[in-house]
Amino acid sequence: MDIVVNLLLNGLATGMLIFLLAAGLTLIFGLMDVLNFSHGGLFAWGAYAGVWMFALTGSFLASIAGAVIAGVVIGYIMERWIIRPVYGNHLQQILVTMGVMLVLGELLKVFWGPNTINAPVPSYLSGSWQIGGVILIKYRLFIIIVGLIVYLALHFLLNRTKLGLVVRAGVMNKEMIQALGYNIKRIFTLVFVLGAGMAALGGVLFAPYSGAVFSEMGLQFAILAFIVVVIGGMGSVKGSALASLLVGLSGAFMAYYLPDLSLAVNMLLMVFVLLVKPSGLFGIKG
Amino acid sequence: MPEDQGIFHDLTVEENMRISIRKANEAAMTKQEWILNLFPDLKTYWHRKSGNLSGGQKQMLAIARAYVNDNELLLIDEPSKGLAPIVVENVMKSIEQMKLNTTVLLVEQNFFMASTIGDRFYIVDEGRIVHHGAMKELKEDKESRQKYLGIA
Repeated sequence: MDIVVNLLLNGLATGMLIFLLAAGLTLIFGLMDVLNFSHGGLFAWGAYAGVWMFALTGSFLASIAGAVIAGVVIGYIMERWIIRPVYGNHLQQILVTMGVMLVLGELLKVFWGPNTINAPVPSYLSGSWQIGGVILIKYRLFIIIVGLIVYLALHFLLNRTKLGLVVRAGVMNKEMIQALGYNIKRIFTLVFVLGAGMAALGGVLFAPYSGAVFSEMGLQFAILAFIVVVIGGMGSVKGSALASLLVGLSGAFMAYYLPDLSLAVNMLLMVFVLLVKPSGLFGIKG
Repeated sequence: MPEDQGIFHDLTVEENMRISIRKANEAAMTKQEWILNLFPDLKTYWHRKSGNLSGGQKQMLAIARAYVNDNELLLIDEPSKGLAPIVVENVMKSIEQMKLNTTVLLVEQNFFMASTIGDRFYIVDEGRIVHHGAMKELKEDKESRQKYLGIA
């Protein structure tokens, strides 16, 4: 019982972190038709900026704010001057965003050195609760709660506001949105910056979870996020949320019960979904 | 208005209207109310996905969407295509209403509709304008109608 609850929490927490990356990725792909391989770099920058802010101020809230601001600023610069010139050309996008990923990783080393840096859990979130023999690790619960809040906020933004309506419609038919008189470029920038902010938030939350930050940390999560986007369906936030939890949970349980298969399980999941429903669980585009 | 209607199939009728209204002021709401009364089907399926509408209902939605904004010029391509005769009458009514404060350029093969709504006409044959003038004159000019349109 104890182990099942722990694996469940572990899987959900990992799933939420993947979701923070995948949500931005799926919107950026769905709306802007941009393959962004640099998303993991934003994740790592969020983690470093957060750890740095935490060391500076000792406040975890400030560290989260710092990470999100860093993500938003880098995201804005990237969209405006690096992504915008390669709209509509997938090959260039792959090359350019891969390059950005490398540059972001190396820049981390320039500023903070090549060694891993410890990332402490803030005192009020460290430790655990024990309820009837089941140990609940506080920080994992915290990640799950933050992930839920972000999901609900995103859901509200997309389904209850005019901006969300325009974004959803834009995923379906970009040209028509422009024909109706909306400035699609501004919406692109907004969505990209939103995705960057969420990726950075994922990074800063992951840092104390893993205990340390290193410049290549984004890569592993970015790959998982891409798998999640494919499983969930390009452009669907709901699909990404579900797929994130699926990937997080199956990863956690497989790592315990069938460790040999734990790396393969995500790929198998993706292959299975692609065979049964090529557009993904909630795919809007084919 | 594009020929494939350009409506967002995964959005509801209500969302399609909301996204099309540029300024949600009182004037736009009054216009929306008016056009919905003209096409009650849209009201019936207000919260359904517009992709599930019939071809004619999609056409109504596309017309309603064009109607609600204050436009200077509307280009309307064959609005009567695929519509039942009774709906065509309502489409005509809506275009008459649009005409009050908007220039409408209507492309239409249905001579009854074109001649009822139009003030001026241009007959295009193989990419050239072969005849043009006031609609009133064309209505009375049997010879031209026979010559260019093949109808009396």
